[in-house]
Amino acid sequence: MHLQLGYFVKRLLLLVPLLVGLSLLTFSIARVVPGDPVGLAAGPQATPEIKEKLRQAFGLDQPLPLQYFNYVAGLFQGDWGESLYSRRSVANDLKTYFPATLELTLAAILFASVLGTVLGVFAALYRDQLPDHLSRIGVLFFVSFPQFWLAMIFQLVFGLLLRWFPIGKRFDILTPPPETITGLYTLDSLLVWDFQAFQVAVGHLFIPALVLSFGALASITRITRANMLEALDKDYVRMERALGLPEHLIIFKYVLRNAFIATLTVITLEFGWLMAGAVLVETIFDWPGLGLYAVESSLRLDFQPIMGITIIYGMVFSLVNIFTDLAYGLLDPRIRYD
Amino acid sequence: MSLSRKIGMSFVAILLGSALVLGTAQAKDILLYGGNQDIDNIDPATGENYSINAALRSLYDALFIYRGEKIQPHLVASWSASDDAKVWTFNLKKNAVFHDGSPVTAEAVVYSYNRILEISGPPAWRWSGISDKNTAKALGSHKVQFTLTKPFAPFIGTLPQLFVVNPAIVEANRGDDFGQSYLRLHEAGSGPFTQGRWEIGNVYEFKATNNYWAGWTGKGHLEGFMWIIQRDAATQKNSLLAGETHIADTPAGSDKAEIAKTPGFRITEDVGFFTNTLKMNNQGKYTSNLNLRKAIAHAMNYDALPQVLDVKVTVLPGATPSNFLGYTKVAVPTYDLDKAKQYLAKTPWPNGGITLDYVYVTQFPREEIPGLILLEGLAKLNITLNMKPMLWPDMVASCGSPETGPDLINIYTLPPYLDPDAHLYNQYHSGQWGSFNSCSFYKHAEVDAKLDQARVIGDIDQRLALYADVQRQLAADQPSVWMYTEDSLMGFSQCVKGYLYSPMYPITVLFQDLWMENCN
Repeated sequence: MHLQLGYFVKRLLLLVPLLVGLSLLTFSIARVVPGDPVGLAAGPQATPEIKEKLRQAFGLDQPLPLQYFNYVAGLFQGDWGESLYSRRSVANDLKTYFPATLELTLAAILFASVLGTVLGVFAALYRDQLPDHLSRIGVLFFVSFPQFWLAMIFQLVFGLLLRWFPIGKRFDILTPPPETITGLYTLDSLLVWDFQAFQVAVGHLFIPALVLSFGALASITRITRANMLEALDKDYVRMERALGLPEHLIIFKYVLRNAFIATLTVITLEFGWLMAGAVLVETIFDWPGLGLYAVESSLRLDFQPIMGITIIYGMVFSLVNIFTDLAYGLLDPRIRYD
Repeated sequence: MSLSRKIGMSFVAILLGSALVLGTAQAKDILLYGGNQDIDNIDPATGENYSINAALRSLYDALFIYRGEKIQPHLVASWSASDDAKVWTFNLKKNAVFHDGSPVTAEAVVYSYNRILEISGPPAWRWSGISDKNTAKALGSHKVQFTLTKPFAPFIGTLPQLFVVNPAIVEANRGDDFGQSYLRLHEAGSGPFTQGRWEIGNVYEFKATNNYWAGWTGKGHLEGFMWIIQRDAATQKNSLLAGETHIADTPAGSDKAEIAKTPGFRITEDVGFFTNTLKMNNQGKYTSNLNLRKAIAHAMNYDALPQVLDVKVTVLPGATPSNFLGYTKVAVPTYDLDKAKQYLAKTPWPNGGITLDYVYVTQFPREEIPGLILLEGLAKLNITLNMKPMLWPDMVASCGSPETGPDLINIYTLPPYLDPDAHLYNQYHSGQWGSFNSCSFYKHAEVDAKLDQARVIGDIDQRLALYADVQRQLAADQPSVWMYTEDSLMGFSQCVKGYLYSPMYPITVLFQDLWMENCN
């Protein structure tokens, strides 16, 4: 445990140069691409004087190294800058949008992990039989369709035709959302014991998360199936069966646990991809998340939000990877990091 | 029942419960509006676009207001102007009050005007070239005078954008940025609505004020409305038809028929002032040649535009839309390849063999498709059209100078006020070079002089005569290919009443005029 803690701290410290490098790279790319974001923000009829005033207000008239230094110095004081376009604080915007995307991605990865693992286990147990074929064809079907198309069909069927779920948004329009504690509506409503709010939040989350999860479902199912098959072939499984251990104990306690390390790696990777790729689902379901914010900021070349979003994504990717490495150790006590 | 079954059943119950709870919430006379765009900012000194304007017109009052096709006095009771259109005096209505009960005074108007000038945000360009800090003066508690630094006849047309802020609230939250941080999220107005729930990037609630000082124009009025951001057109349509919204402000053209045929809903289509123009770089290597510009204009198949675009469009009859103030009928090119070839024969490239760039917004079919139509026409003249998609900020940057300006660039323009000046000066006066509106880099000394002159004459007939001359000269010089005006398309629940289309704000509703009848 002591070694694990040391490893954790070391990895956390390594995050600092990683994020500095990431911010430097993004800053350089955002500044070297052609375009006139100031002209865009100032409006079509802005006079040169107005544009210049805006340029000065945002420090864009200063040399690039100084702009970067000021930006990083601001970060350490909690100042993530201001959007050139909306003039809102980027830190506040990130605080607003990030929990929405995090909640959607967590729910999607939860769906994909549970469903993918179950399907993978069944496919392996019934290898080359009907359940195996059905599960493989099923996940292939959903992963093959473009996500925006599935989103629109699900919205049309479950929202407009059946009216089982809302068309979009995170919460009922006419009701204030639960008090912000974490920003995750499902969690916040449970924390204040408001089960009706929890129902409403889950109802809004269910379809968008399900659609988003399809992207990860196929790989999780396939990797679980392959590793289950490999593990089922091991000597220790034969021995456990020879000893007469109940089958469910063998499958879920020993085989799945061994097979799950590879699945966990895939889940981690997919979590990152789902988060970065949530924009289409967010657009269709009016989910006010980071993906939409990222796309809009990029289209406007709005520097400060682009930088903030990149740093947030970088941090999430890195932290997820660190925690995954630590989880390996929990699943397989033989794995230790020095 | 096993624990796992109980958990599973509970989960299903929760989901079904959610499904039943959802979509049933409804409140009397609260209008749910599906808006395509976020309301980024509600500071009258720094915010300006269609969604921000919808919010500002609801939270604040201005000296004048656009209602339908007309401009009407709003905070103003009476006014006068000097003959040279330099000194403008306004008497304000005395019953106008801010939301905190304090009166809307001349001092507040002066304060608001100077604040806009000092901050120099997007709305400031209207007045920055004709004002200084001494321009606005209070001559009494309810009398204000603007002495412009130079005459500006369209001045009244700009005043619907002068939203009056409550100085006491701004000063109490002044900070080090003249209250910008505060006002971008909080109102300080006297308008028909106040702010309710304000969820950034998601939903904005507006609540009707008690006893709005100006009264309500309709048979009833809304208790409030919710601006619900819905960026996807299909989502707007689905929400409308599912009863989750009452208005969809930008449904897709392909959804028009479905909305119109569903009982309880209607679609409105109106011709707007939102013009699409193909600007040719009049200082460019090839397109500086008048005959080539004429050839290009004749190679465009205008009749194909309404058939292939996914919105209803009206082909432009010249530099200004036919329903816009000051429109003058001029001879404009039609699709005629023989004529195009005749003009091309007079250029240094009589057999074509040249390549022109056509710049448009990446993945925006309404700009790309006209290019493809032109590509086909020009191919018959042996001219290659290089389709060049660009991000909008890059397009704006390319219009910075004639050297960087593309051969052809597709630009949408919305006149910011109801005056010929708004269309013609911004696009065709050489002093405007550098803005994307003037990306044709047109320069004609006589046109410049007439546009300048029309700004300093008070008499409207004299001004319109000058604008007519300008339009004739533009038709002769063909600085651009005038393509089409895009019709406004909005989806409504039938229970929403009082909507009056205003071409000045093609997709902005004047919420204070709406009411609801028998909405579920």
